[in-house]
Formats: sequence, structure tokens, C-alpha cells
Amino acid sequence: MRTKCLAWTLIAPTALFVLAMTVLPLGYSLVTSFEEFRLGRPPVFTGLQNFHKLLQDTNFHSSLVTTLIFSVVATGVEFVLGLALALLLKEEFPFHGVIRSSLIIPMVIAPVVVGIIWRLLYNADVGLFSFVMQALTGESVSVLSSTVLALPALILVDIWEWTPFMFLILLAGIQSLPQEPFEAARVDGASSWNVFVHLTLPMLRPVILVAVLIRALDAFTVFDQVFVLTQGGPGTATEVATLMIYKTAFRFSQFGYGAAMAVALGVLVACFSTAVTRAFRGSV
Amino acid sequence: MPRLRFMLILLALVITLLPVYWMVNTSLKTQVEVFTSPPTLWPENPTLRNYTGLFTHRHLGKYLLNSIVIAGSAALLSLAIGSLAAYALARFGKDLGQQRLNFWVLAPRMIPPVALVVPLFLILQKIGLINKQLGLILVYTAFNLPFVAWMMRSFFQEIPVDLEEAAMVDGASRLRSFRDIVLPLVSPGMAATAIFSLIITYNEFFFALILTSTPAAATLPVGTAALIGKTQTLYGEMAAAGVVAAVPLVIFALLVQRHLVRGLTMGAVK
Amino acid sequence: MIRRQFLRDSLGAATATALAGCGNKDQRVQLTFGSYADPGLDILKDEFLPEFEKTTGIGTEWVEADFSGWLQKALNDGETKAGAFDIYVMDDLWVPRFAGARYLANLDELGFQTDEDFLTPALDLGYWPPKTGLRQPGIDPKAKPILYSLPLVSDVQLLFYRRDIFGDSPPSTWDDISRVARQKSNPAKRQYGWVTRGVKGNPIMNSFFVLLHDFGGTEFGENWKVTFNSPQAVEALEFYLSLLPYEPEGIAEFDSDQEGETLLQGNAFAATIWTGWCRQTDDPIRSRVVNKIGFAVPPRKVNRVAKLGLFMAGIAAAAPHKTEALEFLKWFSRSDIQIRFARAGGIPFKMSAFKDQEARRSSRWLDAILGAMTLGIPSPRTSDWSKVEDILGTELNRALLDKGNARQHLDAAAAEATAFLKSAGYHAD
Repeated sequence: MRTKCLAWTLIAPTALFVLAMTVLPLGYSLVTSFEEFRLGRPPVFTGLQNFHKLLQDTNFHSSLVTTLIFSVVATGVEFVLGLALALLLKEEFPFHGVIRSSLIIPMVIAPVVVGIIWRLLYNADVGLFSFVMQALTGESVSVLSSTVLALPALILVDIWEWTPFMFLILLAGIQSLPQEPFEAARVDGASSWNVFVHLTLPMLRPVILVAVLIRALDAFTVFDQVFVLTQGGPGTATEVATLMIYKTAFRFSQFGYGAAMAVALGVLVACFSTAVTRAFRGSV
Repeated sequence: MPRLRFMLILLALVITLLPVYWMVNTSLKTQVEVFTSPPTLWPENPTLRNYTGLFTHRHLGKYLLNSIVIAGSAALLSLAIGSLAAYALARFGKDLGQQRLNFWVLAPRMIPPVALVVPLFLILQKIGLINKQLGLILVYTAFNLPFVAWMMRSFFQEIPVDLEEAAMVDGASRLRSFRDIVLPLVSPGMAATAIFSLIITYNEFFFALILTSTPAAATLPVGTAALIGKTQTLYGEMAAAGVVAAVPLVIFALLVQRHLVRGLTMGAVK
Repeated sequence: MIRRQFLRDSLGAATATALAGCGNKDQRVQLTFGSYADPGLDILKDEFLPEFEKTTGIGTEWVEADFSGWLQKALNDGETKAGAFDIYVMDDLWVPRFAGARYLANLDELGFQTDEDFLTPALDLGYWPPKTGLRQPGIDPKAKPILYSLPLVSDVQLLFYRRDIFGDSPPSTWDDISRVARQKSNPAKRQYGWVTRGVKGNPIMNSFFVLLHDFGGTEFGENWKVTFNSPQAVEALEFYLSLLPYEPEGIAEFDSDQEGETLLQGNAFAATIWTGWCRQTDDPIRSRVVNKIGFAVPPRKVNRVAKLGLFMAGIAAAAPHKTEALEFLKWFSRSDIQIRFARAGGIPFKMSAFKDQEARRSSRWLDAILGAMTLGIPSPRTSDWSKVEDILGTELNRALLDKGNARQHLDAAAAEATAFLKSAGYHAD
């Protein structure tokens, strides 16, 4: 009994903080999503009307698809690259400390600055990226004004910025693996590829799940870079859900509808992460 | 080191650092040179005006100080509070399954900040903490806590219970054994957790924007974004602000990167 | 151990900051201005606020955030009545929303007196309900307009043109622009006949606005009927698209900053740009076309209009220092201060300042701005314009990407806008 009391005392502050700053505001947002706001008048309770509107809002649906594509592709590529980097750098070598620190610089730069610098790099007239692409392909490329290339361009920025995050976590995971199975495999004469696929990867599963989930969730709520680089354009090629929510709530002053969008996004993201976790079931 | 490995690492470094170089390069250019085509790899007329302008005209010094204080305090506070909860979960939390805990760790990240900002503003307004460093510190602490609790829990789970019990049998109280035996063993893990929290909090923009109003409490991301004007963006100054903001973190990372990986290695992510 | 060191350092820094904040309670009143950054506000910020402080003893603090960030903060401040700011600096586009939602103090009630010297188009923007034009549903059509905000800095889209290419007399019709672009452009060598904004939504809409009206079109007809797919509108859009071959490749991603930079780099012959850029054309650290740029009223087709985009100032409804804020507005609106503001390079909002000989000599763009202001029209005065603008702006952007299909895109925009307006309570047909 004493230990239970102690346990709850220790957990209480954390629980209170989370309750006050996350759950409570979420409840408020939920209430807002059931209301409608018109200029100069107090909000009106409209029940599920906002959600009904959502179901018919094709613009919102396509923004969800865009967000999903962005998140999945970005996270996937970041995972592969992060893993490759972790494998490359898992052993010590001269200057490995400095090199490792250099590799994580992208993720410590403020996202809004990352957006602005890449905007400059992508600029068709004065951007280094466009300049290099033109030298390589002979054609002038205007990445951010192409409906086909704009989303990949954004994904590239995200990859540049967050691969270090994957790299760090996967590196730690690899370095914490027990040595015996690998030694045994070497004694048995297994090839590197086999070791990697049948030994390393399965043992890393819990780490991979964590890294992928955290990154994917953050990618679902991406905002700064998209806002700075394309504002959702060209057309609606890069209109991600958070951008729509932001515009609806703040530019168009439709707070209720915007809150409903945010709730819908949150629910979908929760489902997604549950599905992914279940897919990895058995190794958590 | 094998040739291929060397080339690949070099490639990774070039790709990673080229935009960083561009940021530094831009920060030393005048606005007219930023938009020169073809782009220049090094400014023709390098100038430090962007940097000095930031500190004399744009309160960057204040923003920098706020960022360091707020992010540092939030990281420490969430570490202290979260570790207590983590210890309890590790030692007594057989009932609270891993699945549930995973969910609560990730839950705050699932909600777009735009949905939480107005209610949080109202809460802070009620307790008079709008535009105060403490207000932001509390909010960021709350957001870091699940992550901290979850990471630290794995670290605590690594420490065999027998160690503590042995100490307690010898007459030490639980608190003593926690402080003298457990804490030193998980300190690399605490460092790793603190670093992650720090980086995430330092660059946070949305809440800082709405929950503060003046340089008394506003942070670097807010001050930096303010350079995006209505009809113009001052690219040179923005790049300079980016450099200034990143420098403390990069130095910090350089100093503690050894602890970072060693800390994570201690089984945090198992 | 590193952690302990860090702990000690942070605690030390935090304590020092807290203590620093505690001391020296300034006895005098401090007015807090909230704003976005813009070169048009620099002179006000750097020279006139300090002078105001010296003359009246009222302190000022100017807080900036990025443009959208500031809108969010101001809306939040107004809605929650937080009172963090005394004066909101606003885009005139925001006035319907802020005034309609009662985030602004009633200036008539506070005792502000207007006079004849105010430039009428500028002053009218501060009234709600609007003095002229359609009123949105929910607003009493007979309600008397109340003054809620004052102009702060005049801003209007002006024609910036290269004197060395057009000769000393400015192009006066859109056909002039088109002709010279055709004859003299060389996109391969980065010599563009025209540059504009292409980003969807507000940017492209601002660029298209002048053409729409010049070709005889409007956004709305009687009862808010959507008219931006009329034949005149289609013609205007087709003209806009006809200039594309003479424009930079990536125009679809151009916002006002890239538009202005292209001109200042000497790569564009002409553009309609905001007046905040005027001073920069002659600044060597900003421009490669020092003394080469001329300023004029935007060209004509059937009509001749300019787009207004003034910076307005309003007193927050929950402002802690309303009296002092009013003091500032009264002071800055004084004709003698406005004349000095114009002489220092700022853009005034009073006729006497525009006519002042010394000001006209040192700011060679002042005459053109006065002409543009006189022909200026604002965006439709409704709080729902942002959404309609977003719809229309997205289709305009699509037409730009298509390099054609003007009619289809305008029809699509009109259909979606009509549906939205109907759902928001407008008749729209």
C-alpha cells in the first residue's frame, strides 16, 4: 500500500501538467468544433454540422491525402538514409565526433530559417539548387512553381532537416545491440547481407518503431516550411492539412470549422499510429 | 577506412553542410547581392551589417537570452518531474502497459498546435502568465513530460532492482539509494533526454508566437520570423539570425554528443 | 558533471533575468504598438516615435512579428481582450474584421476630430460599416459609419518603370506595357518586360485586381452577385496571361518580395509594386538601378485604378492606455507632423504633406503616389473577402500554371465563391 501511494505521488505532477496543458485544451477545442462563429456575434452551438461539412469538403480531403503522402514518403526516405548513415558511422574513426556533430546541424537550425534558406536555394533565377540543376540537365528548372515538383521539393527539405534525427536514434539502437548473436553468426560464416536482414533489422524493430512513429507524427503536423516555401501552392499541390486549418481558423475567422478540421486530423493521426504500432506488434 | 565508406561519408557531409554554408554565405551579403544571378559562392562585398542590425534594431539579444533561459528551464524542469514519474512507472508500474504509455507519449504530437493555442492562451491568461518566461516554461514542460517520462522509464528499467534493495538492506532509505546509486547510473540517459528536449523546445514557434507578445518573453523563432515582412523579406538578416540561433545549440551538441549517443545506448529505445 | 554545470548555469541565468525584470519600474506610461515589419514603417519607427516620446513624455514600444503571425496575435488579443497592445497596426484588409468584431475602440466616441486635409480614400478605409459600397449581411444597411481606425502610412500599388527603357514619359496604357515588352524583352538574358506576383491567393489577386478593374470588371455586382467571371474579367485575365512569355520562368512562385527584387536587380522593365519599395530603388545596398526608376499611376485600359493597401492604426478595445494612444494618433495626424514625415521620406496621408514643395523635391515619387491614391480603390469591404480571395486566387494561380483557360478557371472560381457566399448568408445572385 505504501508503495502504491508513493508511486502515485511521483506520477501526480506529470499527470497534472499533461492534463492541464494538453487534455484540457483539447477538450476546449472539441467544444469549439461544435460551434459556429459569425462576425461580431457570440459563437452558436451547431452540433455536428461542422463535421458534416467536413465530410463533403473535397479540398480538405485532398489536403489530407497530400499530408499523408508527405509524411509517409519523407519518413520512409529519412529512415533509409538514417539507417545507412548509422551503419556507416557506427564504428569509431578519426574525427568521428566532429563529423557526427556536423551531421546533426540541420535539425538544430530553426525551421523557419530552414524554410527561407531553401526558398532562396530553390529560386529559379538566383538559387544555387536551380543553378546546379540547370548545369546538370541543361534546362532551367523552377521547382516551386511546378505542380509536379513542388511536393517532392518540400519533401527534400524535410529529409535534409530530419534525417539527422533518425540517424541519431538508429545509431544508438545499433550500438546498444548485444554482440554475441553477431559473433555467433560470423563464426557460422553468414554473409553481411544476411546478418543485416535476419539479425540486425529484427533486433532493431522496437527502435525503428519509435523513430518512425515520432518522425511521422511530426511530419503530419508540418507547417513552417510549407508556409514559407509555397503557401500551399502551386495550385493546391502542397496544401497540407495544417495549412488549411490555419487558414480556416485565422485567415477566414472560421474558428469552429477550423477546430473541427484539427480534431479530424488528430483522430486520423491517432488511427494511423495505432495501425503502425499494431503492424509492429510483438516486438514492443 | 575503406574507400567507399569514406566517399559516402564525404557525400553525406557535403549534402548536409551545403545549405548551412549557404546560410552563412547569405548572412554576409547585402540584400542586392542575395538576389544576384548567377548566385555568388562568397559575397563580393561581405558585410557584418546584418548581424549588427539584429542586435541593435531587432532585439535579438533579448530573444536569444529568452530562448536559452526558457528552453533550458523547460528541459530541466521536465527532466526533474518526468524522471520521478518514470521511476515510479519503472519500479511500480506493472499495470500501466507499454502500449498505453506509448500512446500518451505520442498523444501531444498528434494534435496540430493550432488547435491548442487558443485554449492555452486563455488558461495562461487566467493565471497571469501571458508574456512571461514562466508561462512558456510551464507549457513546454508539459509538452516534454510524456517524452521524458517514457525515455527515462527505459533507463530506470535497466538498473537492476537488486542494487537498490541491497543498499536499503544496508540501512539506506529509498531516497538515499535513489540519489547515490540509481541517479549516477542513469545520468548519461538523463543527458540524452535533456538534449532532445532542449533542441525541440528551443526551436518551437507557434506557442511562443501566441503566448508571448513582446521581447520581454518572446523567443528566437518568433524574433527571426518577424523578419518576414508584409512585402519584403530580409534574407540577409534572416540568415544571420539563423546562424546566431544555431550557434549555441551546435556548440552544445559538440560538447555533449558523446553523452548523447552513450545515453541513448543505455537501452533507452529498447 | 556536465548536467550539474548546466543546471547551475541555467538557474543563474534565470535568476539574473528575473531580478533584472524586477527593478526599475518605469513611472511613465508605455504605449505598446503591435505590427508587422515593412520598410514603409521604418521612418515612423526610427525617427518619429522617438520624437513623440520626447515631446510628450509617453514611452513607446514597437513589437514586430511576421505578417501572418501578427494577424494571429492581434486577432487573439482582440478576441480574448488581453490588452497586451495599445495600438494595432493593420492592413486595411483587416479593418472589416477587427471593427466588425469590436476589437477596436470607437474613435468618434474617444473624441477624434477629422479635418479636410485628410486624403479621403485613405480616411474612408477606417470607417465601419463602410461609407460607400455594398455592406455585408448582418450589418444594418442604414447604420451610420463609425470611425474605428486611422491611416498610418499610405501604401498603394504604383507603376515602377525603367526610365532608360520607356524614355522619360511613363507608359500610360496597358497596351504600351505590352508593346514594349514584346519589342524589347529578352528572357534568355534575364531582361523581362513585366514582372508580377503569381503565388495563389492574396498575392496573385493583388496583381490581378488592377487589371480586373481597368478592363471594366468588378468583383461583385448588386447584392454581392459574383461577377469576376464576366467577359471583361476574362479579357483582363487573358491580358494578364499574355504577358507571361515576357516574365521570369518561375512566376507562379513569385510573391511581392521576388517581384520587387527582380525590378531592383535591373531584370524587369516595369511592375506595379507597393510604395514601401520607393526609397529602396535609390539605395545602392538594395538596388542595381539607382536613379533609373520612374514612378507613375498604373496604366489604363478602359478605366484607370490603383489598388489601395494602406497601413491603418487602431486603438485596441482593451488597450490599457487608451488616452495616450489617442494622443499619439492625434499627434501623428497633425498636418505639420505629416509634412515633416513626408520630408523625411515617409508616405503621408494628408494633402498638404503631398503638396509640400520640399517633400516633393526630396521624394520624387510623391506626386505619383498622390495620383494613385486619388484613383485608389480597396478590396471589397467584407470580413469574408479573405475566403473569396483565396478561392479566386487559387483559380488564378491555376490559370497561370495552365498558361490559359481563363474562362474555365474564372467560372470555377465564381461557382465555388457563390456557393460559399450563399452558405455564409449572402444572396449572391
